[in-house]
Amino acid sequence: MSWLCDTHGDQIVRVTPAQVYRLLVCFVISVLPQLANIPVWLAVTTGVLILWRVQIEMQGHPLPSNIVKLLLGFALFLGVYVEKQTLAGKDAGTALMVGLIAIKFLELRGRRDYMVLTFVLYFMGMTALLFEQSMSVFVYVIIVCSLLTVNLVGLHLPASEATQSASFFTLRMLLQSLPLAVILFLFFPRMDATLGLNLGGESTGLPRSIRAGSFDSLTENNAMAFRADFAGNPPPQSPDLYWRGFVLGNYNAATNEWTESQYLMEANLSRNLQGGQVVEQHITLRPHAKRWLFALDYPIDDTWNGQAELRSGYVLQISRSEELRRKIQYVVYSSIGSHPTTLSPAMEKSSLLITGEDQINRKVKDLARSLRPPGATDMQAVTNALAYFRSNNFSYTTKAENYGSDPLYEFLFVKRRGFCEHYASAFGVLMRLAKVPTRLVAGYQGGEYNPYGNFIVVRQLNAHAWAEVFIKGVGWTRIDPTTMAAPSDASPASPNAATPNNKPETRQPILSRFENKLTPDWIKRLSTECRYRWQLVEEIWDYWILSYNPEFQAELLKKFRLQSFAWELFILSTATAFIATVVMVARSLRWKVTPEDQLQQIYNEFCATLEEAGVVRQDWEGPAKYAARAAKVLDHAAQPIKKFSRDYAFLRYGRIRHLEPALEPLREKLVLVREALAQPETKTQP
Amino acid sequence: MRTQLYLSRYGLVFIPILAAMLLAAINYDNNLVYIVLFLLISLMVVSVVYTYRNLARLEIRPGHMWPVYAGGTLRYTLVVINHAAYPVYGITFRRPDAPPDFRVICESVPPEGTQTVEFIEQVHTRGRFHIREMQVASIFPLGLFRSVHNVRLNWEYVVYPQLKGPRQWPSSEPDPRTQDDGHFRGGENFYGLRNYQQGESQRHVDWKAVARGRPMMVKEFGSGGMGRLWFDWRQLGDMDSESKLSQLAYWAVQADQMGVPFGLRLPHQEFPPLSGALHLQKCLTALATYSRRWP
Repeated sequence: MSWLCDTHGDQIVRVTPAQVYRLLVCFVISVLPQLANIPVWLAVTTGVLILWRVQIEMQGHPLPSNIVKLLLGFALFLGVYVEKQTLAGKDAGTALMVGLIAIKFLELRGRRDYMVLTFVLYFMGMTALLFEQSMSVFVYVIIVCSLLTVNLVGLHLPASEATQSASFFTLRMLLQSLPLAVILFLFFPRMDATLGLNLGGESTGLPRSIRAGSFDSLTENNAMAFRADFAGNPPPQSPDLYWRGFVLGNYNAATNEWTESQYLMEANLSRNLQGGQVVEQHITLRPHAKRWLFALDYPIDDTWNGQAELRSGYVLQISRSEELRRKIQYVVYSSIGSHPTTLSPAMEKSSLLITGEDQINRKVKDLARSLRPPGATDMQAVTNALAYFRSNNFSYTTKAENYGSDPLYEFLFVKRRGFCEHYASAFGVLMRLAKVPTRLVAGYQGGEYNPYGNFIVVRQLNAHAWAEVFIKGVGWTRIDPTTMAAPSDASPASPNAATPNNKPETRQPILSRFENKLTPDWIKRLSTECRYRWQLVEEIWDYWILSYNPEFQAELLKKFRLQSFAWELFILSTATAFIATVVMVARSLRWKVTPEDQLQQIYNEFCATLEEAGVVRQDWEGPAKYAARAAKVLDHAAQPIKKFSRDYAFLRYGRIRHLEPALEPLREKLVLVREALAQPETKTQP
Repeated sequence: MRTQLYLSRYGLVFIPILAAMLLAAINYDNNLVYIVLFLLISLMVVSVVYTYRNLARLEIRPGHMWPVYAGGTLRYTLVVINHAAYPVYGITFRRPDAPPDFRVICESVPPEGTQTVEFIEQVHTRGRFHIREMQVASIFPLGLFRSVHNVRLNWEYVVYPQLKGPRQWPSSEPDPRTQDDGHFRGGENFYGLRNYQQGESQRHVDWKAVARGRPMMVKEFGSGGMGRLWFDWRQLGDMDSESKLSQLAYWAVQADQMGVPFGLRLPHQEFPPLSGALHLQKCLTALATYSRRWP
């Protein structure tokens, strides 16, 4: 880094202990959001290194030698490699970055190290936004950046005025930089490109396949999956709140597993929907690392802006090739209470297929046969199956059940307890055995209605699976076998959008159940209230910030027929904003023009005039000396030059109370000088 | 004075970091990262204006310079005048030909105030030098940009030869004009009268004048042998020329400190014996700028 040595002697500037402490504080603050992502030993080591650095500074010890730092760095790489088995990827990358910054602090000595560390910490602070895009994190990151900037400004201020002036300067500069930042944000062309970098991200969400126990991780997960806003319309009634995710059309009996079917291109998806009422939804979806989006049953078209296409099975799939790794907002229309009416022969065949049918327990097959006596219609078979669940003491549980080698048989005949995936899966198998075209749908059901914002928050614990059967003459019909379970234990199938706690006490461990009993009612109401209000704030935030995406930008440009000029527009607007910013800031900082300034300006003009005539003023020359020299050289104008200079010196250095009236006569004298200089030398000689 | 702006080397380091943020923003299509990035870029742009105006209304004037001998430290001051209505911070000064660790900083100048900045430099060789230019720079407030302007000073200074020499003082030469025998006796020739001051020895009081009714005066005796002490280049025949110059300078300073008038003879120059600061300065300058090819 020797090229970084500046020619202005900056490298010899040492930083003070106070500055070191401040930067350490910034480091700690910027690392805090990542604390969950780094191994415990690294967090502890980082803490120790920070304390060590503080101790070095307090005791005035010398900094550790290069060998110590090298060993620490080596140990860090080794530790991370042992822990993660790799040095790439999100977790390892974060860990390495934190560790290396902590080690870099051990050689923080001069201004150069300080500035480089500050820049790296800007980046470190920013990374929190890659994992979480909520408003609170954003505000946090902005605070981190501001603190770093205050630090940076303080570095160049005398220690006596550092803190106060630095904060003041930072605030002023931040405010002044806002307009340009906004322009850049609006016009910077959003590229539809992934650069192949993948630091990973949140990937909580629905499993890719359904089998016994595949929803276990979600039943207690209170995290938000998505939020649906109804654009001012009243939200649909609770029985309609089935958020369609993806369709599982393949059943493998050997593993008792339902998997996603291939999506065939299906024409006229929206026209095949019969009946129903169209509902507009603005959905803010958190990243789940999969490719599907959610909408109420049944989405009728691609999402507005084209983030996702409607595929066969009425599944919304991201148009881009990658998986969803950022929070997005999309608009989609659904037709609730409708039925898709077509079933192609190929689809009918696949909707009846059971891979490895012979592995199914004979008793299950017998049961399926009994559900559909000869001559019974599809509808009767469905009714019979539901009746079987209702009358045979099936119960609902969210606790993970241990099923043995044949979970299907065990569920239907022995334990008769389960979560939605057990019901949907078993029902689907029975229907296929009974030759009713069936598929499974995974998604969410219900949600919490926020009365202030008119939106519904759907959480991971709302994850749900249900079945769809094709009834001739009606079309695909949603059947939710879970609703047949005894509601005594829990009732996830009673979607209760209007009440906040649609998953009541039964979902929580005993301890929190006691807690619930002991907390007074008003606190519960207050916390509910607070939660609603906060959700509303987040909703507004997402609406304004996250909805500005490439699609929206393209749409905006298209509106003004400028879509092909994105770059030109960007360059033009940025250049304008750039110049405007510089001018505005310069103007806002401009000094008031005092009479003294005007006086100086007149003198400058005088100097310029003489310079044109060939006499250049040296920087140290006072007016008298300069005039004397100029008068000697410019003989023909000696008199006016001397007069002007005498007056100027008097005004500049004398005790003049009112300078302003004296300026005009001085200007006139300057004119005389010019006139004298303009006349040819020969004329004045005789 | 024209102020120039450059991206500083710190700024050069900052740009890859911004580029990394841009990559992250594009890759994840993350609006919030875009916002942070654009805010930092705008901050950078705004800081340019601050960096520029930090120097825009400064005036630099030469201050005072102290005499210096080779091997010693040159000390001089510049006066920084801030004509602006805002304080100015972190002004660094640099001579374009100075070593990289030469750094003088003026931490702050109050609005419409002045500040004297002191410079200390090691000088090794005698001679006549110029401070032609002083580079005034500032990287305030963020350090990403540097505003620079070059102040033409054309300030001449002379480094006198180093004061050292092994030789004894030369013996005085007889001066034909005063018929002095060339021995320095000190304080024998009558020089003048001055007022008597309380507590002074009364040995030299002009009692005759007191007897005539005049106020008490003291007779002063100047050092005798005016013009007899010569420091001559040729006296030091066997030394090399730098040592000769050092020796002559040493003698001259010693003589000046003792108040003894002295003359200086160089191959092409001669300074008749005199005393006083101006004489010493002339002699030392001649020694400092001596060269064989002179004039």
